[in-house]
Amino acid sequence: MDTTFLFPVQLSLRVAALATLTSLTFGVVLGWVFHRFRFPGRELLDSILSLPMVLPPTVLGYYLIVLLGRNGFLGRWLQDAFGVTLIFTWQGAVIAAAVVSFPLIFKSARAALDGVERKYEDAARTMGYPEWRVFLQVCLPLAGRGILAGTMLAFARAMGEFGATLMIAGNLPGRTQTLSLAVYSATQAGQDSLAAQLVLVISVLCTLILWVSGKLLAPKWQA
Amino acid sequence: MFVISRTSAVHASSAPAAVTAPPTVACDIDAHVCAPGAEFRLQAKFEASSRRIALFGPSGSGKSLTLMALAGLLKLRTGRIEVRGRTFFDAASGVNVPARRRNVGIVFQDYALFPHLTVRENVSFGLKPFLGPLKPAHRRRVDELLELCGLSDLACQRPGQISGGQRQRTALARSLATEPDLLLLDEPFTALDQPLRERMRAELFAILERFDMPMVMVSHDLDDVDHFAQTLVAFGRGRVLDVVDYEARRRTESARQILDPLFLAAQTEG
Repeated sequence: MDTTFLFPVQLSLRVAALATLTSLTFGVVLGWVFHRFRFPGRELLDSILSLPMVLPPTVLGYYLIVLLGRNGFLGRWLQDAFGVTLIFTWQGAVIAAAVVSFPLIFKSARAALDGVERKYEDAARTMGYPEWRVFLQVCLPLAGRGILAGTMLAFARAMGEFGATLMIAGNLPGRTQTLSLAVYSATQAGQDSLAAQLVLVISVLCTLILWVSGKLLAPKWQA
Repeated sequence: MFVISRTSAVHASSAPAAVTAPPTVACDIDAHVCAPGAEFRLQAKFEASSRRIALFGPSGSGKSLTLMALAGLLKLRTGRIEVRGRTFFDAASGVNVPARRRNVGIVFQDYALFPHLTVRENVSFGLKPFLGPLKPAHRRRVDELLELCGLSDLACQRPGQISGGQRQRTALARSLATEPDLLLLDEPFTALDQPLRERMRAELFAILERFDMPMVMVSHDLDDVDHFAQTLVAFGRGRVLDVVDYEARRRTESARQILDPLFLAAQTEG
């Protein structure tokens, strides 16, 4: 099959998968921190962490360039210490997609963990469970479906990411051109059938994801 | 039934003969509990040496909170808790043994069975290593407990699929599996309907009698207390009103004669 079609699909799947994995790790850990601890500035930090959900993706892209660009304070350090550049690479697209999808997992993880009644954690504690086992063997299984549903949404969101990706990774065909960017380019270039194919792929995929995550949210056990 | 495998080294040491056993529970706590919209002050000071202690009082009198404090599930700032000679909490010397190291079993009011696990997995929860299967000895103990509590046929069911009485026995078996030094029962019968209640009470006490284990039960029910208590700790508005040698007084008085005045006092107190 045509690489102009195949490459963006593959790249998008890879970027979305890695971005989701990254935001899943951070989202669940931070969700647990918010569930478990009270500290000053807790709700303010929650708002800041949720910002990527509401800010225009271009604003996020701007922040990321300021942070990770050649003159950005993290970007320069990465360049000097490891010789790594993220700007105009597909790895940069992963970071953009991770940042954008993070709040979806963080929010649902926090809500799902807060929904685990304390008595279950307490019961495990009286049976000798240290906190990390309470988390892994009580909280995670009981909050798992909520977290998984958030993860699916995050994956769908990462697949569709456009603005921040464009700013940080560019739109280089065969290198950083993801599905959503390819749709834009194809439309601009008048390649209507390519655009239609790509649109079909992403529409079907996202429908599938939303359908499955809806299934996951339906109750399974009675308490 | 089960040989409790505490080492006898402590007893064998050259302690003088006439050592009186430490009290089962010695508690002297003062806690502020902030619930949304209300603040509650708990001042519970009592000592009890029998093997079956009932914390008795109307709802909102602080007896359940006291039980949570014994288990290490309530944050305390001042006071002292000692169970069978072991200091669990002592604000003065900064001791606060975490719940997981107290070896105290607890049956929660609504049982708090893990809804995602089967009856068998619930009962073996406290014995389960992080990875891998149960040790053979532990497996046998779980089997015995399931048998003893009449749960063998339900082992693969989830808590949502079994009756209230079966859930209660599952919770009991789960708390006994780790061989606790002290068993706490928080209103074990309130979640059950009246006719079932009496039968369950008989069944539960029959099971507990086979374990040589001190117990503390919280209840506001006269019948529960009357069937259970050797020592009675009466609560009212967050304070201990009286500690009664129930077993001794019961020989000459009726349950109502002992309990009614305490209940009345709890309501008028403060």
